Amino acid sequence: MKVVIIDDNAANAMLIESWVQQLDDVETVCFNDSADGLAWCEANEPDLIFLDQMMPKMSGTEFLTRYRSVDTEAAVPIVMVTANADRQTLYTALEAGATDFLSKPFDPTEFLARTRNLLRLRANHLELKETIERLHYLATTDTLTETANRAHFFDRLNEEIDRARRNDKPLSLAVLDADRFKVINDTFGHAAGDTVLKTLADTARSMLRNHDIVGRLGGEEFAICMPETNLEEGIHVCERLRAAIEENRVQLEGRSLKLTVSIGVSQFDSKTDAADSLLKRADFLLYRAKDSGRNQVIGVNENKMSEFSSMAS
Amino acid sequence: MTDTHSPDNAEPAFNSEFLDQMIESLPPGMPQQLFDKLSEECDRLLAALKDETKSAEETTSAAHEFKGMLANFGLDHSSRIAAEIEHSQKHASMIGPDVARLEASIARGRQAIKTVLDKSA
Repeated sequence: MKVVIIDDNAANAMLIESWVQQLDDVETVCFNDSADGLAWCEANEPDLIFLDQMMPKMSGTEFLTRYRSVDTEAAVPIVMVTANADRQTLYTALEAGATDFLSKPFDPTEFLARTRNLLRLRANHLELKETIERLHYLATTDTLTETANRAHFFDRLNEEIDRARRNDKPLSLAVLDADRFKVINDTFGHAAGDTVLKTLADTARSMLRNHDIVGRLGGEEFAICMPETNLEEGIHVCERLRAAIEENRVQLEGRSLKLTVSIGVSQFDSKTDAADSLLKRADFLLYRAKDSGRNQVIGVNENKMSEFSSMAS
Repeated sequence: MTDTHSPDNAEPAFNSEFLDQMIESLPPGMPQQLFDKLSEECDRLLAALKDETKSAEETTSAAHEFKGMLANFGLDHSSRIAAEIEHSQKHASMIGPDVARLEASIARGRQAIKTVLDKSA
């Protein structure tokens, strides 16, 4: 735990530091200049700050106001330390975001007990934050391939559809499926199948733009949302991806395996489409690609679909 | 020279309970280091209080800092004198205690603390 002590009086800062250092697992950093202290706290996330109220250049209250504007969750506990024990100073400090308030001189036993309690609360806060982040990750991510899971992919796709409609921009959706995946699983086992899926996801991520969204729909099927991309561009991107996957052979149990994918691509039509219909069309095209010999990309617009469907049948 | 007949001498030079707690709780040598730092800061603040070129605001600020620091280190009586200086600076019409009184009180506190620390070493 990092404890920061900001006091323009070097003896006071050293005294607080010497008491804090009696606690386990604590690192201390002292500043006699509040501006230096603020800069450090903004650049590094401290776990507890002891702050003197009366300081030249920047008072403790001013520090609090400025720091809390950066620390928007007000998650770092700040203890205001002051020789002015009047109610007004206390109110001002608490209003500005102080977590606790200590009047000089402070009783070392009380000081250490309060410090311990604040550090315990801080540790709980950090643990909770980590748990929430982990839960969010698990709720939104396919942990094997680290792409968006089905539910999260649809959330993101719907957001992008809204944006495309609002801004009158194109959007393309691709559905990709590994060819003969069942054979790989049956021949080499599920661990090998997992390796293949990870390789596919890694290749897709490495070739797509940061704002493209890759999600695993289930099994060996992935979807790619390409905002601000028309059908022609979408087909081009997917063709490059298909070729890259074919070129990058997967190493399985000492054997170099050629992997291919089939991809269906369709462009969003703002007049008639929703996420479901767009996906259904791309999925249909994917299966046309499979039926036409696999290892290929087929892309068709909504207005050509009836023509394409009748040709296909 | 310290005036041995001053009423300040009737007050304890420092809070012995606080000093004992420091000696018991902190690593050996740390109380000495802390009081060395305190001495440095006392010299700086006394110089600030004596400096006639300082504004009233600067002198008040130095007295305030002195008050808090001395109280933190258990020099309670000296802290009260610093508080009186701060108060008199804020209310310019009042006649405040002179800085020499504070200096004498601090010197008495330093000497007494030194004796305790030397014994504990």
